[in-house]
Amino acid sequence: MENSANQRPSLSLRAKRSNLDFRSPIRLLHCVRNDEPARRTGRTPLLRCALLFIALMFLSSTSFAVDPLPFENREEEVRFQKLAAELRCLQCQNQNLADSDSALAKDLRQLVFEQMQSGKSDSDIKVFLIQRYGDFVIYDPPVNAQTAPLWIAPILGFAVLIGALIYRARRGKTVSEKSNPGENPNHKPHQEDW
Amino acid sequence: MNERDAKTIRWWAILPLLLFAYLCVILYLNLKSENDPKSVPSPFVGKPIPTFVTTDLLTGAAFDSASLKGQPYILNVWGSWCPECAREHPILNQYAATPGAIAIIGLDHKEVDPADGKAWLDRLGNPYRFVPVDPDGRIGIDLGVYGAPESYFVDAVGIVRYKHIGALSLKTINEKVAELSGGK
Repeated sequence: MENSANQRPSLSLRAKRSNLDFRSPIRLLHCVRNDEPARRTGRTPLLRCALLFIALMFLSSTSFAVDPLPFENREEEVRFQKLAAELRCLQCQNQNLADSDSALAKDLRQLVFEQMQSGKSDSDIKVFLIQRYGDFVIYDPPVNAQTAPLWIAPILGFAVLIGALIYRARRGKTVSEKSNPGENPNHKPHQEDW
Repeated sequence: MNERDAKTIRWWAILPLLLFAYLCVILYLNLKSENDPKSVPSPFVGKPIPTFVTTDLLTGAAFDSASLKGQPYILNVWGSWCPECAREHPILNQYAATPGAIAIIGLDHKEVDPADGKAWLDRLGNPYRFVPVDPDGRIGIDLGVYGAPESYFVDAVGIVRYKHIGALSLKTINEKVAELSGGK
């Protein structure tokens, strides 16, 4: 519910820019047909459809598997849903605990709920689950010896790439300074020789 | 364009090809290996197995897993609702019948009706020394069970040496039991 409320301003901004009126589904449909509004704005229908498609993708919101858990107040429910979304379901591994409808996910949701009721903090609950299921249950992997390559690899990759680019740029310069263009008319030092 | 271009093909021009070949090899090896991508490494391997107290499905007597200490055993998690367990069961029967086999403890996980579990064991045979029950799945959660069948190979000191996700093969049982008693 909060999600859609947060999205509304940005959506209307987007709508103004692209002349799409998101408040009226009928007007929205205009973009699919090659009709008057499209010609007036000078946009091709294809582009408008692409814009509509992208805009519609933002409308999808995460839905939660519903358990009849007796939350005392809205705040508690929000806290629960946030925590459940950060935990992975082990039975269906591409889903989080909030989304999954598997038997284990239901049991774990119940357990998370009970632990919240007994006054445990979010990190207490996470530690409880990590002790039993390992780091796999949390979506945010901790930095340790095993996961270090995951964190370092992209940085290393970029460093190598930038190093290679600098190296090539420098070498290109020195070659152009040394070379004698008169000898080899085909020699173009600055040209990429891929 | 001309002979100069032809001559100056750099060694790294074949890099994409090498990367592709590397990827193919890695993917092929993973496809061929017995590694189940769904199996999650257990944090209990190398650590003491959590103890639990419950009752036995068949005798109704109290069961305390702490009493198992002193001898190696296999803790097998099953349920009559679990088709893969039924597929695995003949292997367990076969292993339990071999001389010198270590004890198999069968945790009856999330059984809705104890009668179902009893009927299942009557029908398929009972390889288990004890059959502790876990009707609400809380023991399973404490053990980090996320789907039956799962098997813990526990040494005489109570340390989990290996956890198997899915149906066991006789080969795996024999190998892992040998590692248990082979002393580490």
